[in-house]
Amino acid sequence: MDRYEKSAEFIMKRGDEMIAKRKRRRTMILRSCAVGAGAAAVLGIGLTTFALRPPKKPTPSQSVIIAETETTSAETTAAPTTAGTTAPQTVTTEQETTVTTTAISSSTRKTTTMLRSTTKASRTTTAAARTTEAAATTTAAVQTSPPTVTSLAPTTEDIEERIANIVMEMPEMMPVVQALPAVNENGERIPTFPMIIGDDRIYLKILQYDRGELDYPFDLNDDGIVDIYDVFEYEAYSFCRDQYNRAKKYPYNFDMMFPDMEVFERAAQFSGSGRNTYLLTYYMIYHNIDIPDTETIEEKAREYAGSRPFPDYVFKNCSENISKIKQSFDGNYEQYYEALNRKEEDYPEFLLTMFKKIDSGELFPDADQDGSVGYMDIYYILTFYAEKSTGYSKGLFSESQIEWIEGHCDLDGDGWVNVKECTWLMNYLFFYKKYDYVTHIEMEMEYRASKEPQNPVITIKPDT
Amino acid sequence: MDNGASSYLRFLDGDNDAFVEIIRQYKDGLVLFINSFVNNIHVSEEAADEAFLKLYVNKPRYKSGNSFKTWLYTIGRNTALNYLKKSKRISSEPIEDYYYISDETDIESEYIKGEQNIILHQAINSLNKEYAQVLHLIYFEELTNDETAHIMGKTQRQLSDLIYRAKNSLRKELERRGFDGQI
Repeated sequence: MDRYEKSAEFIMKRGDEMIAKRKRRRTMILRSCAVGAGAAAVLGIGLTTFALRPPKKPTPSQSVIIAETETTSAETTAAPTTAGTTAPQTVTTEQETTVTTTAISSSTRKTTTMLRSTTKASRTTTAAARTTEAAATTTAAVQTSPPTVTSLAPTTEDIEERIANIVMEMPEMMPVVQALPAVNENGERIPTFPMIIGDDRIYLKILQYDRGELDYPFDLNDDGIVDIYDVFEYEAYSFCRDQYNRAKKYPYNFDMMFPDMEVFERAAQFSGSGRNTYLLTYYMIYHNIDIPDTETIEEKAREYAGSRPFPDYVFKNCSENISKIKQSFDGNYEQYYEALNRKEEDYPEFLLTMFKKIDSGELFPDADQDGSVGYMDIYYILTFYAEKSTGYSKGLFSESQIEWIEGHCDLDGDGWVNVKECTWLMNYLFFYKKYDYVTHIEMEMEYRASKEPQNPVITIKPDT
Repeated sequence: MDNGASSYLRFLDGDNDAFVEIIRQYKDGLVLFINSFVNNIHVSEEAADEAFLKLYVNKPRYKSGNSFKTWLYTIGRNTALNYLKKSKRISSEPIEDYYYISDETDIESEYIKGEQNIILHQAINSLNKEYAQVLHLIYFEELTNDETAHIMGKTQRQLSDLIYRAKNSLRKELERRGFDGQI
């Protein structure tokens, strides 16, 4: 046997082990899907009551638009705990919560509320008939596994198995899971956790709800408003959690859907979290969903809460924002699908030039300064932009980091590091570089986990 | 269809001997290519193994747009870059787990024929990483500019500039080493 044969034998042996491991993992996932089906029904994979319809190719529904009312927030905060929950083993104080969340998601985080209520409704209505592709699996879960009281409180083993599977299949959930007294990808408990920023916070809340540690994760940013964004956020989360589908697992690839920068920027002005507004709008248009009115949202939320005390939320449907963005699409939806198959020659010259500069190192928007341009850089830039634009700094960045980002990440040289940079980087990674999201995010997370959290403001007691 | 491509297709049909053929045909070249920007023959070999492992496990689809070698080297380069990044943070497996650790001179002398070429190869490896990569691909792998550009993710224009600068740099290096052969 010569050295080439030895080498081949060694590689094939390792390869066979990996293939066998994958098969085992797949089996585990299938098993846990079954376990999670009941809980999925309760958790509300949603929009089913009003969001799910056959994926008819988009005819924008100029539906009833109910003007939203501007509301002042901050009066109401998160839900009080009530009976029926199993307790505060992992406690996040309200103050801590507020400090942690970044400004990126101010509107994003409102989303959760509705979903749960819509799910509840979906159990009692014929919503399943209106299933879309995106929610097909979750709807199936609802159908095959009628909710029971026991599914409200899955066992610790169930939860841990599910979390382990989530981590294995969806590395982007790592920060969330790490924030819990949870497990790493090898199923081992993680004693420490990194800082949590942005939307991770939402997922954390939903997971806490899932574990029975929060009563009402409806109003994720604690501004006292429950709106369509809450619904959508939860839907995205559920999609991410329940699909177990790498190809579709990334819930926020809004760049794929909205490559048209001009339109995207217009969207951004409507909301502190333009991306979610836009994603939501896209989703609604694509699935031919009408914007639910404010009363519907409130009704569903209250229906879900049942006899439990219900916080004094203000409800709104944000239809004004959504309809403005709908109009800005101008009926041309095909472009968003075409973008999925974008090739180099499809890029405008200035973007190509920019991408090549990034490749050659002339432009290096390595915001987390780990030596490569990856998903986390977009995340950092978006966070940075949110903090700067809102003036609401969470102190996530040190002075020197801010200086670095300002100096290196202004790709178009307009003096601002903003959502434009994020979108271009997304395009760069996903289309131009054919970004291997799974590999890179794992490395990014390792890097992130290896860093000392700058503001470990979330404290959660270890599970005992 | 070149030999590598036909072997790969046979491998996809379940013929593991074809996989051995691919390794026999391309491994040394790939290791030396990776070594041109890694400058550590052992790490290069590990990275090349990772690339072959990726072929074995994922069985990516080969499109006949480029030669099999170009395609394989592109995968090898990207895998090596990822591997390097990852290996910085993750401690590597114990050395005894590896079946065989090559010596650079073994591979070099087997793969690159002629003393002059070995001197040239060593000079190239001492250059800037990008220069070393481009010169290695063009001189030792005898790839076309198109193929080289594809592997390195460059445009033709960028590649021409790069070759020009790399040649200048190599000339200086060879002069420094007292080598008077022509490039």
